[in-house]
Amino acid sequence: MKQTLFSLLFCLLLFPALAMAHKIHVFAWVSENRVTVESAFSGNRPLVHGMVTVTNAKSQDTIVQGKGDAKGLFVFDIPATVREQQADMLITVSGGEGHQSQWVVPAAEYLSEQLPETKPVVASTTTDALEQRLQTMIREELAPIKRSLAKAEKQDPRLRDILGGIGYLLGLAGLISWMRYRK
Amino acid sequence: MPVLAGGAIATTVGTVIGLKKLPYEQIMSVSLLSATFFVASLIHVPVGPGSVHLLLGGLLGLILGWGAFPAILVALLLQALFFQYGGIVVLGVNGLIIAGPAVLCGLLLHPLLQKSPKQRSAAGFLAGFCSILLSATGMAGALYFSDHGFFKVAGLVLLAHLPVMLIEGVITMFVVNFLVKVQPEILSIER
Repeated sequence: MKQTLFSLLFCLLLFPALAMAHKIHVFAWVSENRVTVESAFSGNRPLVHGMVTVTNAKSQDTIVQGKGDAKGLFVFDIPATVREQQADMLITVSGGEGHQSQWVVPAAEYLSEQLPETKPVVASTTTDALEQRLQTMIREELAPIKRSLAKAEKQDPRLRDILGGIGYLLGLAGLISWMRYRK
Repeated sequence: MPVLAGGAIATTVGTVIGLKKLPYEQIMSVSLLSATFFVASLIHVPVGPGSVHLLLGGLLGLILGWGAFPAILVALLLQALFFQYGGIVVLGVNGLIIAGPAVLCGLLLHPLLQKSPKQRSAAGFLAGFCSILLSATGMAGALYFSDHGFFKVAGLVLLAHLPVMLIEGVITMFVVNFLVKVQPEILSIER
């Protein structure tokens, strides 16, 4: 009889292969003076029209506020004032129902990016210009990699994690029983 | 803030009562059901713009009574630590919203399990149905009273959970009937 119960519970435990989550994943990347914020539920379903609020991480002032589009994307330009203050930007995305997530764009990330207008438009063959062009190219090539790295950082729960959690719970019961047994 | 603090206090009280009332032999059941809850609440089904998931709170309440509080709290803690779901700050509120209705439904409906098969099925269904109903109401209330403050979201939360109430009612009914057949002692009833 006990086996039947255990196997029933075990069947329930096998479900997580289908697991999807409610958690909102936010990530943002900078290119030139523009920040793109992407938000999605886990399972890669975009968060449609999520509320995006960008604040100055130090002074807590709101920098930009708006709604994401149907693909969960929100794009904004970094205001000159923020650039002057060299402030980190805290991006908060809220999907309603009490779910929200945050992502920080450190000042270093956008300060290292060239402003479009400072780009040398005059084509010259000096090493400086070449270097700049190379940098832009590398940046463009790296953008998708940056994105996928950011994505990889925030993974859905995997079977491994879930089994680990079950192990913890059973282990906890074992620990309590053992402590009581020793008394 | 008052919502967070109130939730934390209530959950602490519930957990203490749960642990005090927990008979020695039930520790393994608590742990197994905690694991069941842990997994069930990770399976998310997209509904509208958001997604919903099972909780099986009614089942935990029926089987564990007050013991559902520690079971749910530990599972929520693990979810917060492993997956950053919910989070530590809202742990108290979440615990109260999920475990409170579970315990309430469990204690109220447990006596019906001893009676006729029909009443037993009804008790199982109602435990699943009402625990979600109350949890969703609690969640809507918590959202309403905390900084969000809008009524529309609260209504949406309730609406989105309607299918879950039905599904969870049916699942709880089947599990209860199954347990009564194979292992009535886990429900603390005589055969």
